[in-house]
Order: sequence, then structure tokens, then C-alpha cells
Amino acid sequence: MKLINTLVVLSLSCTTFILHAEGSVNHSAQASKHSVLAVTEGLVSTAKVASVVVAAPLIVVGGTSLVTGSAIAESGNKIKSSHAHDGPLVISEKTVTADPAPNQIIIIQNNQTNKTDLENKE
Amino acid sequence: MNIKHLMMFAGLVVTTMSPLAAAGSKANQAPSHEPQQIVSFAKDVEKYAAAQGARAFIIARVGRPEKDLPKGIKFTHTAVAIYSDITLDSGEVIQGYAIHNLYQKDGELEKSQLITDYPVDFFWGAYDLKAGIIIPTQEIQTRLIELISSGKDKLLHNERYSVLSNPLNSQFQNCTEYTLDLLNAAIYQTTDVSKLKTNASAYFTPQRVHTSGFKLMLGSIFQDDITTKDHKGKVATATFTTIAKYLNQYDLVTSMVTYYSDGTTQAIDG
Repeated sequence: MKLINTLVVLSLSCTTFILHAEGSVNHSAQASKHSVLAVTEGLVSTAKVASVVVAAPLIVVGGTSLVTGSAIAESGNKIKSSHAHDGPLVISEKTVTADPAPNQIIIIQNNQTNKTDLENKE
Repeated sequence: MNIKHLMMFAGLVVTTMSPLAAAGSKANQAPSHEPQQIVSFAKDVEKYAAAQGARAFIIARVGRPEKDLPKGIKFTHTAVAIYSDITLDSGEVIQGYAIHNLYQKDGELEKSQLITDYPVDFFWGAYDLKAGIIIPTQEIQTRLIELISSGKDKLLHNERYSVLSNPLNSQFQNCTEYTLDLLNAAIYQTTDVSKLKTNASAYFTPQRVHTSGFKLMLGSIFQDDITTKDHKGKVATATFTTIAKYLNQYDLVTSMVTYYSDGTTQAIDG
């Protein structure tokens, strides 16, 4: 019995460490999340993303310019804001979310197609 | 120990580990908080970072109860957030943060992929609604933006994933090591991984993982995403907090805080 108790303690103690393995879990691909967000729109606006680019200012560091749109290179070690995003950084009230994972989006699309086919038949 | 005891032990271990294996791949796990809370918190984090003028910052979440985390580990996932122009399906362009992550592959936890998502995605499965935020100096922000907008960040990705990857060599990589590699690429202006690792070995101090060799052995046996092959002697890995300390030590930080859902912040000790 003593041995069994020891083994139980050992087994349970494994959980403490292994739970750490949550790590790098991708939540953007969750189909359920998209469904939930879709019906949570009463409070916020959710939107799918078509594309995303760095809204970088026109920055000049050590003579190397980071170009977004038209660039004006300056020498020296200054950091300079662009005309487009000068001043306080604005955050949209819209909530954006990544699309479901490729395998999930195929399922969702197929379900939508089947639903439309059924509706057309009726 | 006879055969019967061995079988009982194996059964106990498997029973104990099964839900834990799922803990590492919670793609379909329900969130711990109401969706509206998550949406609101994610937006608050964005607004906080924007109010600090952060165009690029290090962001972290906690996915497990703190009591379940090894000593010294406060956050479980780390990435880089970049202030971005986001074009919606409607054609409208809005401003917010896009988060550049290394995530484990669904169903192949020993491998990873680079995924861009958004704050609500990032915090969807968070256990606690709190965020780790490190805002580097403007120069480092600029260099991070340059690295990511040029696509050179992809050159630093190592698909071989380990939860406990050793950040001082390139055998495996996890999300936090990838973030460290991005920062060092920005600092040293190179994507030469051997140079980055040499510099990490010289200047970066990883977090010692205080876990027994027995548990590590079991973990490596039962979970594909846990190995200690890349460690010699004591196991140490990159964490959000050790990155904060590293940047702070070399005067590359503007601010580093834990941001809570009530809007308060707590400075991270450097």
C-alpha cells in the first residue's frame, strides 16, 4: 500500500510541471471562438481581416530608413513619425480576429454550401 | 516492483498525463472568461500600449493557474505586437496591433508555425486576464518593425518545438525563444542564428526550471513537445520575465509592466 501511495504522489506531482505546457497554443484557429464572437456583436464590432501591414511611421535610425509609402531619408539617429500616423496612436473600437485554421475554414465553407443548397431546394 | 505494480504505475501515469497532453493543445477548449470580458480586456491592452506610444512591444499571456507553473515562470506565451494598418474584408482600414507569434502546430505539438493574430485571439484562452507588456526603447521598436516588415523574421523560425527549449542553442525553439531571437536580431542587426546564439550565451540569462529529473523524464516520454536533449546539466529556458530583465539590464526598455483587467499595472522587477 505504501508503494501505491508513493506512486500516486509521484504521478500527481507530474501535473505541476507538465501543465506548464500550455505554452504556444494558437487560439486564433478556434472555430468555436468565431461562432461566439459572431453572436457577441451587440457590444462590439467584430470583423475579419483581409490584410495587415505594419503601420510604421517613417522612421530613420542610423541612416537606415524604414519605408512605408513615400520615404524621406534622413541621416543621424533620429526617429521620426510619418505624416500618416503622427501624434497619438489610434486604436479602432472594432475587434478583429484571425480566420479559422485552413482545415476548419474548409469545413465551415462546406457547411455553408450545403445549407444554401438545402435552402435552394426548399 | 512486480509486474502488477508496474502496470498500476503505468496506468496512473497515463491517467494523470492524458488531460495534460490536452492542456498543451487546447485548440478547442472553452475560454475561461466571458467573450465580452476578453474582447474588452484585449481592447484595453491595445489602448494602454497605444497610450504609451508603443509601435512595437513584447506581449505575454498566462494560460495556467500560477500555482501550477514552475517557480519563476509567470507567463506561458510570449510574442511581438506591432501597431498596424489592418484592412478588413469590407475594405475599411483600421489601426490596431497585430501579434506575431510562434505557435505549436495543431496535432503536431513537436512542431511550430508562425501565425499573425490579434489581441482577442491572443487572450482567448488566457487563464487570467492579465498581460505582460515590455515596451522596448524606440530604437529597438524601430528595428523590430523593420525586421518583421521585411519578412526577415521568418529566417529566425526553427520548426522543431520544445516547451523547454534551450535559448542558448538552436536545436529547438519555443515562442519565447523566438521572441528573444527577434529581439537579438534587431539588436545585433543580423539573422545569422549562430551569431545570435553566441550573443545570447554571452549576455542572456535564462530561467532555471526547478523541476525534478524524474518529472522531466516522464514529460519527455509522454509528451512530444517536451525534451531536454538540448540542455547540458541544469534545464533553463527563456521566459517573458527573463527577457524583461535582459532588456532592462542593457537599457533597452522604456517600460515593463503586468497589466490587469481593472486597468491597473504593476512594474516588473528588473
